[in-house]
Amino acid sequence: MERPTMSKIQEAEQDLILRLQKQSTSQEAFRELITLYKERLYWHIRNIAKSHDDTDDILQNTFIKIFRNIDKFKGDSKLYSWMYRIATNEAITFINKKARRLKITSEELQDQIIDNLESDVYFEGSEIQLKLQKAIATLPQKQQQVFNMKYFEELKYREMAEILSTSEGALKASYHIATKKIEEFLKSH
Amino acid sequence: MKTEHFRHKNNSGFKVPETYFQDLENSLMDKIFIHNELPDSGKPGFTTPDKYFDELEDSILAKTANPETKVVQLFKKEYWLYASAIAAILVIMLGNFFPSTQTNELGWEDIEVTALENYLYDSYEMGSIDLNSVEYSDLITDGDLEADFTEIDTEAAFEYIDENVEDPSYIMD
Repeated sequence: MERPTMSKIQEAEQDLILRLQKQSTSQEAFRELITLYKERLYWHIRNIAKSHDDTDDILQNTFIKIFRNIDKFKGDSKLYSWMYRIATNEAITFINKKARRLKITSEELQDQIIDNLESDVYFEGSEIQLKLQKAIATLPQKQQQVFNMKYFEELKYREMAEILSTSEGALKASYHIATKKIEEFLKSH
Repeated sequence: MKTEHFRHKNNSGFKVPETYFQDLENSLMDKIFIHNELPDSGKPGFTTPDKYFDELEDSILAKTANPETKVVQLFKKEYWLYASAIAAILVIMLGNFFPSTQTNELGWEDIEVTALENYLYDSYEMGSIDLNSVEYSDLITDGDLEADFTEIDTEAAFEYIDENVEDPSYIMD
């Protein structure tokens, strides 16, 4: 199925926000919101959390938070960037809490997840895709986000800049550094 | 010949984006590298259970209708009323939130750390602050809101409150 373009999403946003904030239409509008964003946000979170089950938990919590806080959405940013930020923060918080429960660092947790990817029933990646995941795991968290958003999610730098509140120039530099590091990892492993 | 060619090109009226040629090498290198090394580029290899996305709306809507969800309410109304009342008295007494005179100076012990933590946590969760950015680096380590708040740089915390918290009464002890 072809993904809706960002401009079409933005056109629909204003109408959706009004209906979400009105009690009589909020539930119907919320269903539409989920339909519009579920796959984009799912894959955004999945690239951070890696496991389907964790992603499902985070995605559901993300949508519930969006629903409960839509009245607080002031329109200072675009709805999609606000939602992406909530999803990103929810995912990072989830991972940090899980790592703390296991008494390990979030980096160690990520290494564990990557090491177990081969036995994950919801991972069907080739050898090179697995190697790429291992390479991504070596990057600092911010660079991982930038790489995933550009490479896998194919977001534009302009969209990423809105979501991450960073300049396009900084994101380009970050992506370039990330790809260089990944290239080095792939060559040496 | 060559000069003619360039003159013609320059007079064509066509333009390129300002940094197009500066970015071209990097852009092409990235694409070539990615596509050479990774034939399945753009696909991380993850899959989902069958019909996962078909059933998602109903699953989430059921949770929004049910008060028993995993979402934790960060701000308790009674707490804020209580905290606000105490803070209001303090603010009236002290005149300013951060007075410069020695006699009225507030200390770290005057800050309700849990309330500050909650305030930051809520702002972080709602995406209104990015704890990974440089401006918060003194306040919180590793972008982790549950870091030990007793270990944070109190001066940076005061500065943050002074500049960013609309109603500081929320975090006054």
